[in-house]
Amino acid sequence: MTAAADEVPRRLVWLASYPKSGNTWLRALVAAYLFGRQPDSDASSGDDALGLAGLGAHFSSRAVFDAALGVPSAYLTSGEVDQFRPAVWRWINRRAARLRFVKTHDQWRRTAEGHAIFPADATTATVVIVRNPLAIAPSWAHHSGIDIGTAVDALNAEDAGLSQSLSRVSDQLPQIMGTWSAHVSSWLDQTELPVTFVRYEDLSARPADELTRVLRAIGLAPEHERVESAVATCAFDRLAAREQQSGFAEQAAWQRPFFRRGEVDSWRWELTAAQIARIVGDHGTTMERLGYATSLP
Amino acid sequence: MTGRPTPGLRPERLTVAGGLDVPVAYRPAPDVPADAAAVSVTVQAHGAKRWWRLPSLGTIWTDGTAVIVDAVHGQADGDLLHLLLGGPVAAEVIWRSGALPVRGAAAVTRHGRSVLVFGRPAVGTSTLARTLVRRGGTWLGDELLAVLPPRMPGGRATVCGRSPDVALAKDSCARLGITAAERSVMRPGLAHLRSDVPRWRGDLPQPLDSIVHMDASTSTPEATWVRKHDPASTARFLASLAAATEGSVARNATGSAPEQFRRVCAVATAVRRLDFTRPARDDVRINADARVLEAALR
Repeated sequence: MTAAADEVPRRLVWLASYPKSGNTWLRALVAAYLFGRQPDSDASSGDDALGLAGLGAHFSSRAVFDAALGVPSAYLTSGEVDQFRPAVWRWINRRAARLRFVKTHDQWRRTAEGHAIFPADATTATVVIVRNPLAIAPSWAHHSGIDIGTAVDALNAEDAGLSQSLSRVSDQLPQIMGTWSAHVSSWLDQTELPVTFVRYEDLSARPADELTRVLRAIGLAPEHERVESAVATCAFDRLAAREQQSGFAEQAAWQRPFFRRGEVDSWRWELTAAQIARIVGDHGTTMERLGYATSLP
Repeated sequence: MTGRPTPGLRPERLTVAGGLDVPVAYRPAPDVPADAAAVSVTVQAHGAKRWWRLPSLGTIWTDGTAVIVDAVHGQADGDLLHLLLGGPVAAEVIWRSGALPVRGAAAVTRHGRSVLVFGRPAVGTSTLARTLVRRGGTWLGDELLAVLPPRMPGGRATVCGRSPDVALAKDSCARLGITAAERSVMRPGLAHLRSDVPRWRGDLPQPLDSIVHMDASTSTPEATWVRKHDPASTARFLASLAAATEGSVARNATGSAPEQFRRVCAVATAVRRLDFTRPARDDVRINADARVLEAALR
């Protein structure tokens, strides 16, 4: 008969974030800790020299979804894809022999039938990476090849998402983000998954401490030397240098580098006063929930 | 589960491929056997490769000779059930028939030789196959194909499919110049349209000469031509394929057409090995990882 969900080990670790919030950096840190990868020591290892593929699939990988379901997702509406997501990831969890770290830019949400798209009974931990929206705007503009004003608008677009075109089929499933505030709040306010929140700014200031906290949340017993080694391996300048040397699978639009500045406050001279005011006006309440200043010193 | 009628879906037979079809009944499914094990071919399936249980749809059962649909309270969506029947359930029937089910692939035949194009979703397999049809090929099938091993020493593997038309994304239709009269809406809210295509009318599977793996990844440096069996006729066929490919290209690839073509890897130019067998592992799902198929055919 069907095995009870509780009898199946929970091996999924959700790594959730709004885009350009440090998700890839955190995954690189985790991969470096787990696999001991040296990203600039093996330039011939292709797109995944950071070992990210070894962590686990992207939540919105069309190939993974199709393989699990057996039905081409291109023939399913966005709502139908959501409907099947919990079952697909329970199935992947049952087949997983070890922890699988699953990146997602989706909001936490429920299907039309009321089921959470991130199944709690397959989840061992959830890590949500957040970043000051004032810093996200210029980073998103760079990544997407749009001007900063458009990026500021996108942060407050209720229908914001990725891979939602109805004119072409992407290799990723549709992703629903909503506004930055709605995205962050969806993870803050849900009660089904225990969540560890990581601020990009804290990760930048104290990477070893934050990585240690994340690893503990996942259920691992961090080893200090390995943590320090992972942090050194994934120093921003080393990641950026490696990308310049041999590219990166998640490279930004228009061949712009994925690893741009890695600074926490470059927005101070990249944004206009009006853009800052707009972002704070749109997202001030949520920024304050996360401890971000809403007035310039 | 009630087994009540499912709106919009009442086929009495499921035609899988090459004359292989099984009856479909709508009634309560048999009990799940006590020794049921999870089935790899799809989610929440149970019991010796016979069960699919999906949220809000119901249970589908097959032993390879018949299919039973036990719909949830008669409310299951007919389109979704149709997709399940034509996908994992049909694949199971193909597997039990002794053939190799290949998902995410399209096949075209011409002058008695066939080419099978496969790759991960959204890489452009259907677009390439449709281009080959435009250049004189005849449509064999899409999404799910059955590859049959040679029937006698020295014989060729054969391939057959079941889809009577091709589903293409709107951007592919535009690129191929497929007019509104040649296409129809597949389902509301989708990027795909159905396109009429000259269909192979015969029942017999067609000899398989070429297998083309489309790979849009940036890590593929150039085309890899595996010259295990490379008769002149196959070489000519692939030469025409090359010409066709430059005009079709994978949808999500970037760069110029020649560059995109280099990412189209022919992993075998002919399949006529005496030791052609299905993968030994019972849980292998072809095309879940494209390399599995490649390995299986080497």
